[in-house]
Amino acid sequence: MTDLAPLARTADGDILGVTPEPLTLEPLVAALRADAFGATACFIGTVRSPNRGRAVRFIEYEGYEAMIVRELVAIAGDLHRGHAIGRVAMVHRLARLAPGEASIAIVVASGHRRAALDACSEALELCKQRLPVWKYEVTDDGGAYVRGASVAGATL
Amino acid sequence: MSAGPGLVGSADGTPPATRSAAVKVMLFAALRRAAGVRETVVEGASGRTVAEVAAEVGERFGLRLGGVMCAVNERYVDPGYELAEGDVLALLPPVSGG
Repeated sequence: MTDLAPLARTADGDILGVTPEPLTLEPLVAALRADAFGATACFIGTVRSPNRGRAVRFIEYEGYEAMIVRELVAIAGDLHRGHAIGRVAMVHRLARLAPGEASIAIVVASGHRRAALDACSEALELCKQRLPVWKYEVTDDGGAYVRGASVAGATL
Repeated sequence: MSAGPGLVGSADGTPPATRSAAVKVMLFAALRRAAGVRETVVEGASGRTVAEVAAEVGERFGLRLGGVMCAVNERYVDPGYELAEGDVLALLPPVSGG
């Protein structure tokens, strides 16, 4: 993902979005950089194999794209309110991904390290809880949806 | 022909004077695979709750809805949320992003 074009930059300078393209940190780090930010925390989530003892062939990522973007905006708002951070980037990839390929990239830039590290960690937890994304994992034994969380909203 | 609730359109194709308030329902992940469709339409859904409309869709496609969350117009809502005409309801199985 060397081109940030499909990803919107918010009024806060954040970069939030969904992409089918490979994720790389460098363009996000560069886009968030400013002289006032002495700390930049990065997280990349990749497909793990083996998972639960079984070799993973690939994971098919599926999402409700319009709602993902809306939730990312809400999560970014929570992060700005809760931490002394400058800018945040959160990008989720939706595609068929092999082990080792990145599915999510999070970058947080702030004046000092603690806020960047804490916000980066919280961003990931909020993304896992709130983004309408599903993983269909295929192993040699077949495919199944990865067990998910139902904490973002009341359930039927 | 009177335009009662549930009336979608007249047989001769003329637009109905009163279209029943339809709601689009989107299905994802295991629900989409089980139903075999990405979305469906529920007529006469306006004024009914998300739980009621979800139950109708569940019955239509034989879906198990335990643990499923709901969103209306891309926002999480409670099952008691009352739908209005033109709303888009999404049925979201437990999520596993990241």
